[in-house]
Amino acid sequence: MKRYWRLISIVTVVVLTVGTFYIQSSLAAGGYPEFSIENISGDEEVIESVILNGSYNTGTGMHVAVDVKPEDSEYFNKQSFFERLQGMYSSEVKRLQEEYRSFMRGKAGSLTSYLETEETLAYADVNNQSVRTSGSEMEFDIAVLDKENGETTAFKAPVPNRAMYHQVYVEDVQMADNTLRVITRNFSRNGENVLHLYHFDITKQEITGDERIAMTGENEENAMSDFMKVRESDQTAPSDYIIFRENSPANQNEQGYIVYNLETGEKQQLDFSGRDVLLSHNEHLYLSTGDQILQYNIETDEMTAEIDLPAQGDGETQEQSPPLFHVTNDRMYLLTSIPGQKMGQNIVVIDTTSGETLYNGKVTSEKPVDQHGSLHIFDIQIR
Amino acid sequence: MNRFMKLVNFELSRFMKIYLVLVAMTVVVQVAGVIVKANEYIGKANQAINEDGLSMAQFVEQNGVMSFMDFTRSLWFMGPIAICAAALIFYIFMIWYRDWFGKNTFIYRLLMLPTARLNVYLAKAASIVLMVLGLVSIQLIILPLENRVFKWMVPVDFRSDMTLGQIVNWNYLSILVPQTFVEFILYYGAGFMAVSVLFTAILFERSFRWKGLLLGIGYVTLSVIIFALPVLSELFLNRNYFYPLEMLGLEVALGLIVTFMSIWMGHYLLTKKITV
Repeated sequence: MKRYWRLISIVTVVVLTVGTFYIQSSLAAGGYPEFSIENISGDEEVIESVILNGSYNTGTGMHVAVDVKPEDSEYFNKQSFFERLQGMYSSEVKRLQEEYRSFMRGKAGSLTSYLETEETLAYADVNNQSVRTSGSEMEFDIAVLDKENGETTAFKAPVPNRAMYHQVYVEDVQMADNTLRVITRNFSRNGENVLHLYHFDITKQEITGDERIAMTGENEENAMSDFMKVRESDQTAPSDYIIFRENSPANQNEQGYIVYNLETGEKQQLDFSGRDVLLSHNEHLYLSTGDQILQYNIETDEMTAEIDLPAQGDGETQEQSPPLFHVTNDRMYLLTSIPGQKMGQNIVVIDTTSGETLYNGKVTSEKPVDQHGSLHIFDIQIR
Repeated sequence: MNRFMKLVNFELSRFMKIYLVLVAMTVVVQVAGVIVKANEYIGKANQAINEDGLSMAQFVEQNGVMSFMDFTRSLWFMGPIAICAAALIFYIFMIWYRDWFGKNTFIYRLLMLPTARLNVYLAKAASIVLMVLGLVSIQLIILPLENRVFKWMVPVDFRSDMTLGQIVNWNYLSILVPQTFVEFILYYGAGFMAVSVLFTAILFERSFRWKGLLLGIGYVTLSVIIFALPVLSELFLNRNYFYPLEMLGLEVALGLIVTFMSIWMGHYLLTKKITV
């Protein structure tokens, strides 16, 4: 044995060190603070399915992704290798991949490309936009799955006038009768930015319509303007409207909203005198005034509810940034930061019909957080 | 088995002197680096506070606190790692060529040994892998020590502390020491595959000389193409056809195929074609 001392010593050192390191790192908590949601008032059950997506900043320029749940928090770097391997897709896309494995094969991960109803799952994307290929090869990649008989109709079609465009993004997919409607944002080579609505006949497998919904540079006034799609509560759900915010740098206070009715093709301009639309949910828009949430009905063109937000600790309710907002099943979830505090964030759940506050809570850490660290939450997810 | 162990031990002892020098160099340069970097920061803080009249809080606000990362991102830390890596990559070639070009063509005696010639091949590969893992282990052992030195030198108000796990997870260090044990096996398995491919290419050259050099290069190219086939096909088709888990399974299978192909080819060349 003595003759092999070199071999034995190297093997011992390697096995002991590497073994200790991995055993230790699997046991250790990772060294980052644990977060949870502390109940101030209301029923715990209301927020059971809430996940707050955020990142923890260590104060030395490092950000670690973390999910905060009512009971505990989950740091992404504590995930197993296999969890991380699949972690690049959003949880919604992951669910679709699990349920419709063969349909979802080879499809892109952006939720804006999908439409899911009781009967169908539809997909539209624009291929061949890589740096290598010029825009002249762009084509629509369309696939529609009939959930009842499991049949998929898939075809490709060249983007009309594709030589003109630099890039084409799918913003939303909708469907009515056998027509797939794909809303895209087309960036022209001459710098224009046009919203298009393409119609696809699924049975004939061809493009049957191409409309311009809006474009930049239509007149002098909005020459430099830009369009932002208003966030939807459920990106893949069917909707009759497409809602865009028009930003024009010339007059910042006048943010107009454009509502395009997919059924009638009517375009409607909305003006909320500078108030931000946080979210669209079916035929409703939600706006924030600071201490109130307004509910606006697109169909009837009127404000349908004003919901008061519970007063914050020191009465300073005015926010610099709009609150994080989410609506599902007649409940709205609101995350507001407490002014002057790096860590505290309030989460409020309100019944949208009665305006009653169902839950009020606060994001807290188990231990006091390192003085340089801070938590930033950027999305509310309801599982 | 006994013969194989003997051969590995023998290969290790032939490189032991240089190897220990590499280890010593890493320890000395890195520890010196921690001291130099910490002194630099403290010196800056002293100057700002004593001469420019800043308060401690103001200085921290302007310059930020110091973390162990300031050291690991510097040449003091990366330099020794790069030198060790380069030395071992160089030795992948030298471990064969020294047997031909050494004082007395040692390969004669190696090939005459009353043992399967494949053992010579595997022993060389095993000792390369062991030496790589040995250096990684040394790094893992000295990191907490360096962290301790860092905490000694920088007062608590000026620093942001990190655990060993956090230090390792950041930047390129996670290539040497991946986050999970599964990845550790995958990464170093891929490393072993690369070593076996290079070994076989070297044996091609040793067997057929100039013609063999081309064969060797061809063999490496073929191995790369086989291993990268799924990735290449997705790249050309511009479409991610495989789900991540399927891709992993394919790559593991192809990696194993390339490794066994290399070992088998190396065995064939060593027994049938090698010239001395």
